[in-house]
Amino acid sequence: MFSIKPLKPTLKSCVPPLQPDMKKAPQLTIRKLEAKLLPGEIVVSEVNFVRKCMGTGCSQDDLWGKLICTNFKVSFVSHEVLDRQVFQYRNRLLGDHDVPLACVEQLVTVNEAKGKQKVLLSNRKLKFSPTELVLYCKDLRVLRFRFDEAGPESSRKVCLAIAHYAQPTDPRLLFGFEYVGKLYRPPAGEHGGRLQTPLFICPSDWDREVKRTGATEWRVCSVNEGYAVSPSLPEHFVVPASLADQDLKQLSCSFVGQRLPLWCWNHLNGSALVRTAGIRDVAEQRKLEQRVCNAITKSHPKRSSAHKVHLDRSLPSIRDVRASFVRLRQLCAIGPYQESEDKWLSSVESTGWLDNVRAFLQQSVEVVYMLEGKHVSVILQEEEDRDLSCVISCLVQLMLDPHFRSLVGFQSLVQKEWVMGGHRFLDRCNHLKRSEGEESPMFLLFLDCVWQLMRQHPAAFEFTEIYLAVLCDSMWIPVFSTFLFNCPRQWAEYSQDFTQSGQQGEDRAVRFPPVWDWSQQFSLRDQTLFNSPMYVGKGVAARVQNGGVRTFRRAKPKIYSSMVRGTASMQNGVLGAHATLPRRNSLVLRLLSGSETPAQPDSPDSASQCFVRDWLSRPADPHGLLLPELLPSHLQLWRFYFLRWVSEARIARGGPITALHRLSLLVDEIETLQARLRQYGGTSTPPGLPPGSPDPGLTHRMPSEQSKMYFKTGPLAGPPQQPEYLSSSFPFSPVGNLSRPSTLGTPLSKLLSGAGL
Amino acid sequence: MEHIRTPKVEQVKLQDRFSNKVIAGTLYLTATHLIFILHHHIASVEKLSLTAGGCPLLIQCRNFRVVHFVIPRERDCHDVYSSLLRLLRPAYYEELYAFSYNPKQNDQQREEGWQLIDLNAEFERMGVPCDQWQLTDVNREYKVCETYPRDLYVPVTASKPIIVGSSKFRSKGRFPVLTYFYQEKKAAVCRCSQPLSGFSARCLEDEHLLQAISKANHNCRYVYVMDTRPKLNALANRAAGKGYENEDNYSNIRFQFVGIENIHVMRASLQKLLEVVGARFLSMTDYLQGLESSGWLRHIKAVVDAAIFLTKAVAVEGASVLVHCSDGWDRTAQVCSLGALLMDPYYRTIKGFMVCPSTHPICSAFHGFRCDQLDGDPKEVSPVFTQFLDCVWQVTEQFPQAFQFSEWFLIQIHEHVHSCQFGNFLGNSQREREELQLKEKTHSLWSYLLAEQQNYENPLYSPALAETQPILEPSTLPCHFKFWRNMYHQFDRTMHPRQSILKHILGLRESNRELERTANQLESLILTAPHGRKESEEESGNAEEEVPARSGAERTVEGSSANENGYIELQGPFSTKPEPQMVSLELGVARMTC
Repeated sequence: MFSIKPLKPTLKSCVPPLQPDMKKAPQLTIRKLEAKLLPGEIVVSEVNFVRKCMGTGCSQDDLWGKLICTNFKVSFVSHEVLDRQVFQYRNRLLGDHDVPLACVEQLVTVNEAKGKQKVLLSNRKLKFSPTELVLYCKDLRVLRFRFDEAGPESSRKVCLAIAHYAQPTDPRLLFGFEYVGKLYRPPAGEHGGRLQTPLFICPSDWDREVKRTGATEWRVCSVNEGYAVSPSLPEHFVVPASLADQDLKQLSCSFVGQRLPLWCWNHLNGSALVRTAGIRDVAEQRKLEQRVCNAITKSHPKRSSAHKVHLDRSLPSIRDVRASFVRLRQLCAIGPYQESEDKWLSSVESTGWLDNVRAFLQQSVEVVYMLEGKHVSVILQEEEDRDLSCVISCLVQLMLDPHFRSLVGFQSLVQKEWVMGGHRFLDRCNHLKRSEGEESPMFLLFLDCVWQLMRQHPAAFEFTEIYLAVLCDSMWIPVFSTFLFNCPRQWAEYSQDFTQSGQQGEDRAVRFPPVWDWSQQFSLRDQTLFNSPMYVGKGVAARVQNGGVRTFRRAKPKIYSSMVRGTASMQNGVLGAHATLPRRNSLVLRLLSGSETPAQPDSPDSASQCFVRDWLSRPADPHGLLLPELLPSHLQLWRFYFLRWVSEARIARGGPITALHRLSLLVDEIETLQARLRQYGGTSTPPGLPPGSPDPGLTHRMPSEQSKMYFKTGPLAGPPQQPEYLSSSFPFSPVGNLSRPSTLGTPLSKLLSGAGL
Repeated sequence: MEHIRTPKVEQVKLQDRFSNKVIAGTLYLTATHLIFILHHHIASVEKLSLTAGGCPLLIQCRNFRVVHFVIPRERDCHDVYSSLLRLLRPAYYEELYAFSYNPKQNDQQREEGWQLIDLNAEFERMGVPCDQWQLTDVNREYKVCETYPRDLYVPVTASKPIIVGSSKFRSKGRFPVLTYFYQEKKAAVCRCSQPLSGFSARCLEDEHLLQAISKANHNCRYVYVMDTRPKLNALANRAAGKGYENEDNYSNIRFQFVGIENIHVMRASLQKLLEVVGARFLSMTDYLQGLESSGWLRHIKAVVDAAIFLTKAVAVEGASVLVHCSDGWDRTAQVCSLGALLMDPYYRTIKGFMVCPSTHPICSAFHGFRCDQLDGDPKEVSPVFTQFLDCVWQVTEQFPQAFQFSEWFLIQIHEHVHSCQFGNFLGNSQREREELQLKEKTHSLWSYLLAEQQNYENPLYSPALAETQPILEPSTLPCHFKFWRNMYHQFDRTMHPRQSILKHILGLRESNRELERTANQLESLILTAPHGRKESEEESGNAEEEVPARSGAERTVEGSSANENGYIELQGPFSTKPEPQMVSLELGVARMTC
């Protein structure tokens, strides 16, 4: 693997100065340390006898090994056979100590002797030989390497190589092109079959979505085929049925970026969620708006006019979000924990991050109120329609449609609104290190909002916060089509370009894999970490309905009614506010009783607040509408994501994961028992079995019944043991490596360390 | 009854704190309740200025409920107001609700309730008396220290004159006594009050006693002396002839200030906190800044820090620790209890928790339980116990599997500390309690709580953890300290979470049990009745369908049948009081009280 391969032409341009040295680099290690390389990955530079520091100073827990820079990642391979720093999950693309180059935010080299410190940028010179390298990563990790024992020249070269490769200038220099070109794996094969997430590339995906939501007055149009109309819209999308292709072409010229109004979702009551860009021509604005609104109104079953929401005016801009994220990152990743003791809350406050989260959730609730409470269609307008509207439309759909709270549904939602909606991932992630101004963590903000919803409604989501964190981390692995391009068109172009420039490229279409094929990154077992044990899936409800017909006679009437209620009012998975059955606590009854008490005349509560309150007074339904509670005490910092790398913040053998662990065991036990029961039912078919003998397969799960839980009950029914490696940052935490003084960061810590404990 | 002027007011409106929802109804005033708000809960009654709708009456309760009535006629309002003012500050202990409360128990049950807590048995569990520690009868007639209980444990080598001498050197005579014994390392946690050292005073007996404590532990040559006050406060106390131990005078002590603020600071802090979270249109900025400037979480952290220090010293280092503050009953109690909770898994069970506070702060005379049941000095009221419960809650949040009880248990205890419905929290010392004849005249809370134990169980509790992880090491980074919404907003129904993990897991457990039962039943059916194979098959066919249905239903019910959120539903079944039929305030009040 280490032998020097002829570099691909595309790569040459960015390698030059370092290559000769690499050839000469002697490989005189005591034990051969090799980086695990992916197809298409090459080693650029490496240095041995590097110390990876675990804390701010040097400690005995530090690891010794080799630091390797490839064209994909910064890899650290440890000398130590018994590696004490192991993750509890394994990424197939990355080792435990690896950081993808795209994830490196900043590179700081330090020379202690000379007291020098330099932020290393691409193509800059480094005049001193570094004794220390600090990597600030975009996923909030901070890695420190020391070169005390390493060769000064090679350590300098590694630093320069990392700086160089971490900041490519052309998207084609991103590793994904190398990888996909080498890998050449048609996704339609073994993996494509399992991939259930619709990618919304072909019209049929849109068609299915239209049918699922019952949007009869809307049609899939292919006017943008070949990206003829708008560069940032997908090739196929959904428009009001009353607009002909000709109209669309004509209309498109007036919108910013030729972005026509894009249908997102339909409520069961017929009101639709539409997103649109701003109109360029001020003179024609009114006329055009009228036309679009009319078309949308026509598609509404009750012909009620659409409500327009100007997101630019009511929400923080992407720059605000970025600025607050930078402050938060400073606080969480770098912030001095000991000093900020008393000021933690005000520091969190001063980042403004939670304010942003709240603003977006608040806005989404307003939109939900329009759709659900007032039965009108909503048009989300944003100047470019590629950032804020992605967040809002996704959140609205998550709140209204339980389908999107399943794993596949959520992925399709992200694919539909973010990837196909033309969110500029390439610019917002700043993969190319071009301009800081374009960078903004909108997707992370969205995931944080989802997390807030999830925390308040744990049973409504099929996935866990681990899933959200992993999804967010995948942004920094520049392999997946999901996060690599600014719009579908760019994706298509680059795929095509690449095919043409490829040496043997005949008719092979290069397809970047979407991130949704998780088996690229994780084993099946690790993927079960994504499943929430608390999720009450639709599948469960359906099975109850099918299997329960005969037994309802015996079931308690209360359960019966509640179940009927649960399923009958759930058409298309959407809870209709005006379900035909009068529900015990339904809106109708509440309104009736409400009319008896005289309403406060000077009530400043807005209608939407009443709507929220009404919803709150109804029983929670994980398959119905979800609304977040937005009082400040309900919103919290997403500690798992933001603090998972901070060893001081780690709660050894504690944290929410232990609750999840326990729940998983229970759910697994229930599944096992149910499987057993099913087997009893099935024993009637094989006649050969002697009646008295116990069924050999009794204690085993049926093969098809693969447990969805990561934590499983053991074969023996003993008291469940909690694994020792669990900690509040599981699965990201290194285990048992840090002999962490537990009072670190408290005023007593000094005494404790001084008093000889 | 003689204090009640207007027992009933009609057409009263109840306002929700966070919205403008208004419910109309009739207000009743009885000798013990204001429609179910216990008078003892009421912390303050305020008459606001007149509005168009009528005369507003704002009642703040100690269990963090805020009730806002609007009474149409001003005279009624004034009557209610003045009656309440009189009723909520009884002048004698005998007027307290506990002495009139009768839960339909006979005397034997009542006695059993009180016998649940046996201090000597608890010490026996810890392995005391042993070769180094013994029971002393020096305080038999409460002569040495009247705020201490009768039975006290001291080192074997400490003779009576030493003890008496030491007690004279300690504020209020509270000399060092054993409060927790860590059997594994023979390390002891002792408590006392501050020494009367002033600027230079010494006391040989006190020095001897500390020497004896040190000698009783062979593991370690020295004793930690934790002064839980901030250094500044201790210095200030020296001027009054009190102060702290001088390290030079005592051989083998290591002295340490911990820096927990005094009760006055705490009281102001809690008040501030409640003001902040009670604001109606709260912005994120106001909330976070208000939370920080209230300092409540910082004080909580200080207590947890101190408890961790104690745990480290005792369980890891094996050193004995002497803890004191000013009088040795507020901060000392908190720190000792929490420390024991972190060290000893037994205290994390429901039964253990009842003993834990009783060894340490609350029931037995160590702790001056100054919750202001009587009309006393408002300056002596302090949220010490609330703070202790909050600390425990913070730890349960970090280790959800380690505790047998859930937060509702803590909230319920908190409720009854102030309700004065049970005798446990009355009186400030064992002596006072004996004089009041609490055991004869009142009932014990613990038996009441134990009777409905299943409501307070934490379904996540795994007892196996007690062996594998006996010592808890919570992280005390400020980001781990949270605002306890279910405590401070327990009566604001709109604030409650819609779905709680707790409820979910309860549902799951139930369905699990159900399934297991069916499975076992079927298994035995198949094994025992080979002849009746046909029937058993049929049976199993039925059950197979029924059981998934059951479990599924359980899950669906979880969300949809719950009229209220988890808290209310859990609380529902054990509200023993009959709901008033005619009062349509039911929605607002009756359900809030349990």
